[in-house]
Amino acid sequence: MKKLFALILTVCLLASMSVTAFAANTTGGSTEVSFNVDPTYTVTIPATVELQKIEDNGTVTYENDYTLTAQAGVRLKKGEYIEVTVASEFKMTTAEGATLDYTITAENATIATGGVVAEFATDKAEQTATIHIAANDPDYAGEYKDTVTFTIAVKDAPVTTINFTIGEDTYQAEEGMTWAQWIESAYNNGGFYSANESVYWGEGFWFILCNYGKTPSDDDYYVNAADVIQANTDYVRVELSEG
Amino acid sequence: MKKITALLLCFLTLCTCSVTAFAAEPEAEETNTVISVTVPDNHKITVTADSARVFYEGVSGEEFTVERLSEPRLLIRAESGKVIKSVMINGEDVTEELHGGYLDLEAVYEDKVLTVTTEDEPVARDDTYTVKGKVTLNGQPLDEVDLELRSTLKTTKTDKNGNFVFTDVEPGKHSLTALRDGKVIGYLSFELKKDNKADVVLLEDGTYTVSIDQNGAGVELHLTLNEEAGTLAPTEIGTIEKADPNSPQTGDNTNLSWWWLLAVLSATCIVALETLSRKKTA
Amino acid sequence: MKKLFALILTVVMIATMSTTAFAANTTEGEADITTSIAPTYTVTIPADVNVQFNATETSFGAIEVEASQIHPDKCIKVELTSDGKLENSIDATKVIPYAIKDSEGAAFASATYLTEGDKTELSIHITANDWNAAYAGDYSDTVTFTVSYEDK
Repeated sequence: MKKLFALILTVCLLASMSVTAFAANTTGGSTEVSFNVDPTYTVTIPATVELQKIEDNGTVTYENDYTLTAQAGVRLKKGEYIEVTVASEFKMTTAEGATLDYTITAENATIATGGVVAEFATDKAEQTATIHIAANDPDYAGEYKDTVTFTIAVKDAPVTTINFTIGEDTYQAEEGMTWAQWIESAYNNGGFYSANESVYWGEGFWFILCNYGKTPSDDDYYVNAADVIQANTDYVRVELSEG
Repeated sequence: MKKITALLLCFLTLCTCSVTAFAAEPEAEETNTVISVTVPDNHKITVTADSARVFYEGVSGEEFTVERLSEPRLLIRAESGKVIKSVMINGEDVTEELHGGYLDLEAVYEDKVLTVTTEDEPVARDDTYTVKGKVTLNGQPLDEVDLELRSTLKTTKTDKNGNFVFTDVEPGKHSLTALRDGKVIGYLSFELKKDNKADVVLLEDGTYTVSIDQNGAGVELHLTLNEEAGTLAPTEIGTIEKADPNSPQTGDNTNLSWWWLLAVLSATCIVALETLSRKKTA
Repeated sequence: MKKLFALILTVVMIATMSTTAFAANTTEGEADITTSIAPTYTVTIPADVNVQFNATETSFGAIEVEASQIHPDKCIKVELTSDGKLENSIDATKVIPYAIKDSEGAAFASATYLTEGDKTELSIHITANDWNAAYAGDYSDTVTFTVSYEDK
């Protein structure tokens, strides 16, 4: 039994052991390192909100604010965000059958059923979104209640496409894309590739991509693969001498 | 450990328990309201009389104040040469309710308007008669009482024996009012009729028919005053006989001038003789 | 020695374990929106009234719901309690009978109301015969209106 226990412990230990990697004392090699971080978030939705009576110049309404909270440490993939929507018929009822319509507004805009009430992004700090619920003075007294459903979903950020030109040709990219990302994307339909931090085009004799209006003496004459592609910007292909 | 955990769980549960607070229902409320009314203690009787006078408690007037729910007794008397034609109260004809000139009202519960109309009483211009008699109260003569006879107005006063006399009274409808200190104390409404004998008949309407023996000179009435009712009731009647032209006279009324001349002559002689006698003595 | 070795192994194993926090999928949550509205109402009832002598019918104002916010299964009930006779202030044996009626001419005892604006006009009736038989003096009676919240 002890041996079995020892064996199991050994297997567990081996499974969780980390390996120290020392830098090789050689030149010209590369090591691929990869690891996975899953997205995490916690959104808090209060279970109830009770509308309070408000009297203003003889007009009676029932209102309250309702705050949704994304706890500190929302971590999503780049381009993703948390979207909270609400589903409701916007009608409270009493046990006797009296009804009372109400509205939900977010940033002064009235929300329809299925509408978005909050969006949260990756943030180390706590985030809040407040909506306002309001109803008019009803005909009947009573205990009014409605149950709404909040749906929390992780969404991809909408992609904004930009245009730029290379010579006489017009190309597209996603806003914020680097040349390196663009080369790897489907937007690259012109045979561009990168090497040594530069962007090239064409086989046989090479063209190198340069910023329009710059000269070889300028530091930013050549486009760097790490540069972000600028919208509505002209770029040029400059022919390189063979060899 | 388990106990602590359980305790903590319980505490947590209590902290999150909610109590449904039901809206309190209003309690019943009572409110009092007062209904009030004032019922007046008297009412007015307003008189509109054409050639007539209305008396209440012996006093005539155009407006009387009577106690609520009292039953006032009014005397309605036509002026000379008139007879009552109609009496209306608040538009209702109550002429038939006149009794001997008096109108007894039912319990008064509202203001009343009394309207009296009269018409001319045709005066017979034929024979006239003497109406005389005595007024008594509880069997005793009633003296110094003013009497007014209408239709043609005649007035007199009873003497110490309660006697009175009215002459030249024509047949027809009359009223006799007895007053003391200007206040009506008795009233009699009657019709003087010529008949074969003297008689008194009380009619349903409270008036009397006084029949005169047409061969007599008039009637003598014994009138009994009922102070409470304000009435004069003829309780006895007799005929005043006419004087007989053929009966013995106590004196000679012929050649009356000669008798005057003789009287003067006699007086002159007496004076002359007396004068001569005095001269002799002197 | 074996025990020590086992213990060390256990400690090392525990120290190197990681807890993976997975991101939640699309999730739903419910929230209750509530409000509690207590019933309120305002009912006006007739004020004190002086009846004119000999008036067979006198207006007695109205019972009216001025404001109402009540449960749908409830109503406002107003009941009238009355002796039905005005009593003389000096002699209680002297009375004037009266009746309180609604606009339909029916004797009023109670009524129920639901909403603002609901109303019952009232009047005081004394017959001419009762007036004619009434003794002089001051008369009065106190009537009681009871307003309650009832089931329909």
